[in-house]
Amino acid sequence: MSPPPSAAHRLWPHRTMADVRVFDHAPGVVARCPVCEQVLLRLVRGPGRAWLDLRGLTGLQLPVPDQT
Amino acid sequence: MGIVSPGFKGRGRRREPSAELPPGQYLVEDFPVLSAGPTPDIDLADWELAITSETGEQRRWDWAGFRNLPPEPVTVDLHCVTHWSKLGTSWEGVSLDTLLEGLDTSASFALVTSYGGYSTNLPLEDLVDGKAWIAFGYDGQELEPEHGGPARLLVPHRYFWKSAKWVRGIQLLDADEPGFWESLGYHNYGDPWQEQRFWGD
Repeated sequence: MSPPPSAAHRLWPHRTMADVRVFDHAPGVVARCPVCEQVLLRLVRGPGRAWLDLRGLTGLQLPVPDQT
Repeated sequence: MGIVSPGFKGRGRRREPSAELPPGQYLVEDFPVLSAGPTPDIDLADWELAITSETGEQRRWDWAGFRNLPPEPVTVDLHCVTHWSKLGTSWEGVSLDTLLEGLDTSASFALVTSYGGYSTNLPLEDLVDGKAWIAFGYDGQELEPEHGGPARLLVPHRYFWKSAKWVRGIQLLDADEPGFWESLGYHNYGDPWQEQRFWGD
């Protein structure tokens, strides 16, 4: 049984995007939390346009080089 | 793979389009598995199907009750929005006409929900008059979990994403409510013969 979403999301800061479960044999791409399987983002591509849903992401830590 | 995927193309052999295929489709002989999430582990002892009307009236079936309903053999063509089509597929299922018989409703829309959280929306008129089934058998066998077993919606006159795997509930609604893919670019109606793939098609 999966932990409740709140517990899973508390783990999120300690995970990397590489941990995300991606389902791309689908009409779009769906990325899910590896713990609770909730949808983090969805991506659909049509002719000349794409749709992006970030419903499950509230923030990301991104590695960047120091400013000089 | 780039971050903007063009979508799953299937593994079948690409053939020239024929008159029996909707525009933009190619024929496959295998049965591609597409899924927006993991295959749920559904124990038949816990399985249920519920139909809820717009007034809250509800019908529920457990697995035994559902399987006691009269089944129908169904042979239909499948058309996936990712361009593959599979012709002459054989299913066994219970007609939505049977499940909805005698239900007092004036709803115009349906939102179909699944184990695992998937959903899709259709006009209610697309689920009645012999156009839709809850399928539990495929090609003479129990429907395999990867194809939506123990039971999935089968609405073959719409793109196949409308035939929700692992179906659990059908809500009858006065107002349309977009489902999982319909809320993110995919066409609300999804008629393969009109090539209604995306918003605005």
